[in-house]
Amino acid sequence: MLNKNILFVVILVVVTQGAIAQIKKDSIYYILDSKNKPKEKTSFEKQVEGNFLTYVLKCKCYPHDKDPVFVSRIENSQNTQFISMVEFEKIKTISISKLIKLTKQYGKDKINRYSFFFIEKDGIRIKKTKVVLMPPRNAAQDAVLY
Amino acid sequence: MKITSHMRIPLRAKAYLLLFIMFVAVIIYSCKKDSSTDYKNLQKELSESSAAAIIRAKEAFINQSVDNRVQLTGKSLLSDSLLNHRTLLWSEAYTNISGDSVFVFVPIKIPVTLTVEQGDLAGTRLTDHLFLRMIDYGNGFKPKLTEMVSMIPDDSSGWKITQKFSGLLLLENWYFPFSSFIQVLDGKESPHSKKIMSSGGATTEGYFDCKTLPVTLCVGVEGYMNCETHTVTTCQGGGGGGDGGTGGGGVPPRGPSGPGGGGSSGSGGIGDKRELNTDAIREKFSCADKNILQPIFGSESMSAFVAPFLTDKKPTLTYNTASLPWGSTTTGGKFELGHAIYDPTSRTGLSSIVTLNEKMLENSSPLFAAVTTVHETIHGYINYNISLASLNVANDYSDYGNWMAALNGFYLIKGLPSNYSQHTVMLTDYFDRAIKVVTAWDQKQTLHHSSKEIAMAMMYGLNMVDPNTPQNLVDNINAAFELIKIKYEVTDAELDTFYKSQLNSLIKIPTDCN
Repeated sequence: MLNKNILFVVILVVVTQGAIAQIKKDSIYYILDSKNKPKEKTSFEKQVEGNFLTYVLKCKCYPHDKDPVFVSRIENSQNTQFISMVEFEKIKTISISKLIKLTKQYGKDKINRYSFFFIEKDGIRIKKTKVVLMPPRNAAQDAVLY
Repeated sequence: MKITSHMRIPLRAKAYLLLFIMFVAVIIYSCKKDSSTDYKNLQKELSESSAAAIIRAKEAFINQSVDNRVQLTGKSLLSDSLLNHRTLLWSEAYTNISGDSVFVFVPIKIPVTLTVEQGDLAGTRLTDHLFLRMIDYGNGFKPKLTEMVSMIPDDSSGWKITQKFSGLLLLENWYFPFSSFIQVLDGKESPHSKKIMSSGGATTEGYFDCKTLPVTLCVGVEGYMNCETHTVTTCQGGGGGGDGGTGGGGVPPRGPSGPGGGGSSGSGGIGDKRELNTDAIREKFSCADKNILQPIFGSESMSAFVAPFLTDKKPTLTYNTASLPWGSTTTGGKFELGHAIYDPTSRTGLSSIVTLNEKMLENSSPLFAAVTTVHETIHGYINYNISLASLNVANDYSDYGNWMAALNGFYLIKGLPSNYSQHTVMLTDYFDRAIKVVTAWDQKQTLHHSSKEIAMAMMYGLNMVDPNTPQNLVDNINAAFELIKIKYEVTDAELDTFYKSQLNSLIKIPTDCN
């Protein structure tokens, strides 16, 4: 009986730790403002549609030469934060090539490993926006409906 | 002579009198015209200023930031998860403008049933009584004056937007969950009633004369409500404590008869541009647009299907025409009435493009054009919901039963062949609603159709599935199709004859309505 209880606790701990490990994602920060950077071929297209703010990474790096889309829910005030220069300097940001590599990887395996944050200048302040990388659209979604 | 002279005077007098009357009439008419023109100009100005105020408020809201958000504490009436699931209906926003002060109200949609219990009132529905209120006192819209307003009417039977409001207004800053409240009578702020407890005295925050009020909020779905009692506080005298006492202008409803010294109706607003985009249809087939598409979009039963697209920008539903396959009623072949696809310019997948076959608009009956419009629009509506479900899942938007049911309904069909899944939903969930729309349209036509004929027309193409659809799914949709046939007592032979008569109809849509 005691052994059974121990086994149950062990399984519970393993399962819980597995779940926690799955929930905890690495944070990825990318600076959107490219004004102060060398010109890059890859660009972002920003658009508001319904309650969503979309950032389209124009790289054709998703399957079937599609562009990955990052989305942020506008009404969720927690998605956007203004950070100080001190905080900003502590953040480790990634390059565009690294971001493309991560999106390509997600396009292939669809395993959501990261929490993405875009950082951009907003007037004299620095804005941090939490975004979600949308999975590639499947063929059924793009079918012609009769 | 005397007589003549005597005669001349009254004639001249009459002539002068006539001239005078004409002069007065001209003055009155021109004044009246000026007054009417002035009124129209004023209305236009008010409408424009209202529209501009809403646009300004929306821009300010999107760009608003609260630097010290995390330093503030407090508890909102709504849970954190609900706060994150508020949807702002900017297309339904309106204004109260009073002097230099502009109040913008934006209805808030929340995907759950909300009721409040306060004092003697129990079970008052709060779901339709939530607003974002933004105030500009002449120096722009500020985060401090960006609030969520919950309206609890005195009359538990409810309150309509067109009525003057009497009841309690709970005010919470959008960013700092700090509650306050004001009592309103006939649209104007009134002294607090005895049922509100007064704590009085100075507090550490520097307020004095604070009043508290217990409010019980119930959240969930019908039959499964979870209730929790909160205490809301409002203080006067020491500064802070919310910006509740904003006077009459801060109280809905809209309209010139509204409170706050009258305000503009704001009926224009962003809504001026609201329509589904049928420009391409109007250009080539003006009568189809005027007599079929527009009346259908305006029908009450259709409102739920087109509501997501009635905004001044994306998501949109765009209608156009093309020459698509068109068989022969004698030798056979494929008749494609129209189709719908996701709008490739839509990055969220919320928008769609509907294409109507030009051959159908030229050869078929108005009834067939009507059912095709409804059919393809529902495809656009389902596309919207499937994309929304995907976006919500990606954004960790998961809570509460009724929303989950909707998610399951739409997200699960995402993995299935599209024509199969969407036609199945149309046969099972939307068929009766579609019939209602077409029936309402048909009743306004010169030539009426029986309910059986309308059902047969609406059934056209609903058993069509994608190539390579598994047989068990084909069996499913055929079973759903058979049930509709049984309900309307329709045979295959009747369908065949009826379709032939409608595809190449003797009665066609007129060609020029410009």
